[in-house]
Amino acid sequence: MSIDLALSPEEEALQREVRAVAEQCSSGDPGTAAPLRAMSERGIWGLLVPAALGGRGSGLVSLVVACEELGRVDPWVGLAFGLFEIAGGWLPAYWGEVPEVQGVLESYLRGDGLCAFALEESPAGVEGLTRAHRFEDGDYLLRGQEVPSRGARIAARLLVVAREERAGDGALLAYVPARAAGVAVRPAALGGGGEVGLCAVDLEDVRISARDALPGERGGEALRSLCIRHKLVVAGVATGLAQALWEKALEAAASERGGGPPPAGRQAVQHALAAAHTRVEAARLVARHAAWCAENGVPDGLHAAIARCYAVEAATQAAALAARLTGARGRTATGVQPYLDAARELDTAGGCPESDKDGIAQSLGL
Amino acid sequence: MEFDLTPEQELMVASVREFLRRECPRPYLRAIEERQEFPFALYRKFAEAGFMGLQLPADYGGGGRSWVDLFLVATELAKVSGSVYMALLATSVFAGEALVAAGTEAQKRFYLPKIARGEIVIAFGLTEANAGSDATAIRTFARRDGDAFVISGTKMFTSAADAADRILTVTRTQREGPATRAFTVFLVDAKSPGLQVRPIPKLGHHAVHTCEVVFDQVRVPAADMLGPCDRGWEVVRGVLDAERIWAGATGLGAALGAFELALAYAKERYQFGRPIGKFQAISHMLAEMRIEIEAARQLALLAAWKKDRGLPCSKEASMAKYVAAETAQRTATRGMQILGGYGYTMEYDMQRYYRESKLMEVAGGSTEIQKNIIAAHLGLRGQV
Repeated sequence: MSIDLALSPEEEALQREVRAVAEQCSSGDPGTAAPLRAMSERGIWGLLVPAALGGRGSGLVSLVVACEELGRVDPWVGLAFGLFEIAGGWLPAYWGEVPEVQGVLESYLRGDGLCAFALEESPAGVEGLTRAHRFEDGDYLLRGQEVPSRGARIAARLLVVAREERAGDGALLAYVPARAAGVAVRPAALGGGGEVGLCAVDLEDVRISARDALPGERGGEALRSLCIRHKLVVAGVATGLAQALWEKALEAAASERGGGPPPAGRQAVQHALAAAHTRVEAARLVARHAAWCAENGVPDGLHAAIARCYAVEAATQAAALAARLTGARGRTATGVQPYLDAARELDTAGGCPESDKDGIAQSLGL
Repeated sequence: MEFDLTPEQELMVASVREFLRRECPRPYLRAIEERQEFPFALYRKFAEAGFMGLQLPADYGGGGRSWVDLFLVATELAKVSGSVYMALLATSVFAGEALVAAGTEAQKRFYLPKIARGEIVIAFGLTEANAGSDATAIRTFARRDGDAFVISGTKMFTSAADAADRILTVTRTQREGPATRAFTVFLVDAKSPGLQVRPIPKLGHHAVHTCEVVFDQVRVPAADMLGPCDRGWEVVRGVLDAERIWAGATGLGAALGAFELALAYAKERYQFGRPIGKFQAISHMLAEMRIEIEAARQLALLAAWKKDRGLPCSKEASMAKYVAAETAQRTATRGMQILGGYGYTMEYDMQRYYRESKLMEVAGGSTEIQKNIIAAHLGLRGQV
């Protein structure tokens, strides 16, 4: 096969489907779960799950394309969709033939078992991760406070990442029913995203079966793959958001101001729009390339980190441009303000620029 | 989507690297820069190795390969040296593209095999003292005189004009009127009476001189006209699109060359008891360079890929060119910072990347012109 930068016919069809759903379900109220329900009903679901297991079997480039399309209309929904797909679709399929885990997958594919991440590090860093105590019979007891989790309000399950007490460097991944005894989910004090926004999850002595947990080396391996996919989701959403912000900047630049000529006639504005457009195009290519790399076994997370970092920067810069061009009018709930908030939130979703650069440097042998 | 190189492309890249390792060791590169000599011997060896005219049609002796292949080769050359990529590829890209697009069958049969065999060097004369970014403002005029034209005027910044056998010369054949109906292109014999070439000293790319070319009543047979009379602007536009795709690849290559040098140095140089690359300030600088290089690579690849498919690629070529040029410049500047005092010496090659990359932001249409082109493609017209 020679280099081919076009989406495949299947990927293009998916792109059209997702765009249609996103636009139809757009209510102007960011973060509603309606697009997710519509996606599930129309079978735009389980993209990373092999067809043999009841999924769509589409792959990572498709996931990134879908996240981009959703991110263009509602970045919070895009982010939630991508993370649900990883936690509810990809991981159980990757996990293997464990009946409980297959139950997670089946309910996810039916659309009634959304599964949210509860893995992002707390401000205290790795030491602040949820702790897991292992009983003699193999079950675990989970304890964690204020664990950030996107979309936990509407999720049936949480995918919790924990650190085992007295264990090595491995991580423990566990599915926890969102309404289990000891689990409390509340919207995070700050941050947008409505129904699919960020929540704080408290886990107070939550007991789970060993069959719902993936510990040790295998858990660590799964977590690494999961983090790469997380970054790809953020890269896709950030690309879509950057595109949306660029379009809003262009629209604002082309509109008349107080009887004067539109700013779009000014060379400085034209050049800023040209530069922002170029960054969006580059972000799209870099994100898709990173997805392709992960799909084709390029071993480390270098390209995912590059994609996340570059796409988020493209969104941040597009946000700054849109804010300048819309001025005070943009600083409203119906203007670009929600998108600016989203760009800020994406900056620390699935990593942050500094951790990405640390990862890239490591890949460079530094 | 598919991003993998084919086995043939991998072999080609490996062959180019081996060619450069064998034929362009550091002492050789330093020597051609110091002597300021066009590398004729290398030019012929490059052709003998089968890399010249890579993208030209096989029917005319070319490699019959794609622009993606050319992108891959150009990147490797630029990684090594600015003079090398400019000397070895400019004829094939500029004149080759113009001949393929607008040449008569006789012209193609005569010139293209010579290009592919490395037997001819053709320079591209477009810019004038008062017609740089605004190429439509050229004043060099070709007056019809029987079965010939007589050219008068002065071209500026014509690369390798002093080494060239022919100069692809853009002229006006109508005193007034838009470029689309007033320009004609000629392949002028560089030894023609009345033609004078003066190299202009410059900051880098020393083995390929940029020249002022004075045409004082230079008589050119009408048979050396390339494309229809008064319709040369289309030829020029095609060459400029090709040049920008090529510039995307060469900017990327220069960035990669500077990056690899900086990375190696950061691993070798010990301060405070450890390699400086272990300090986050340096490792993040290198990570940022790597991120920008990836973006430049993808944009340059997109432009080449679209050209191969006959898709419109003018906007993509401008995006590729400007991002690659800025990436090369920023990478070299950061590279200078990482090498510290050693970067400022002539003993290390970072200064060469630093000097050469500046040209990339200017030549072939400045970054500002590329943004004008992109803006026009976005429907943003008319500027204040």
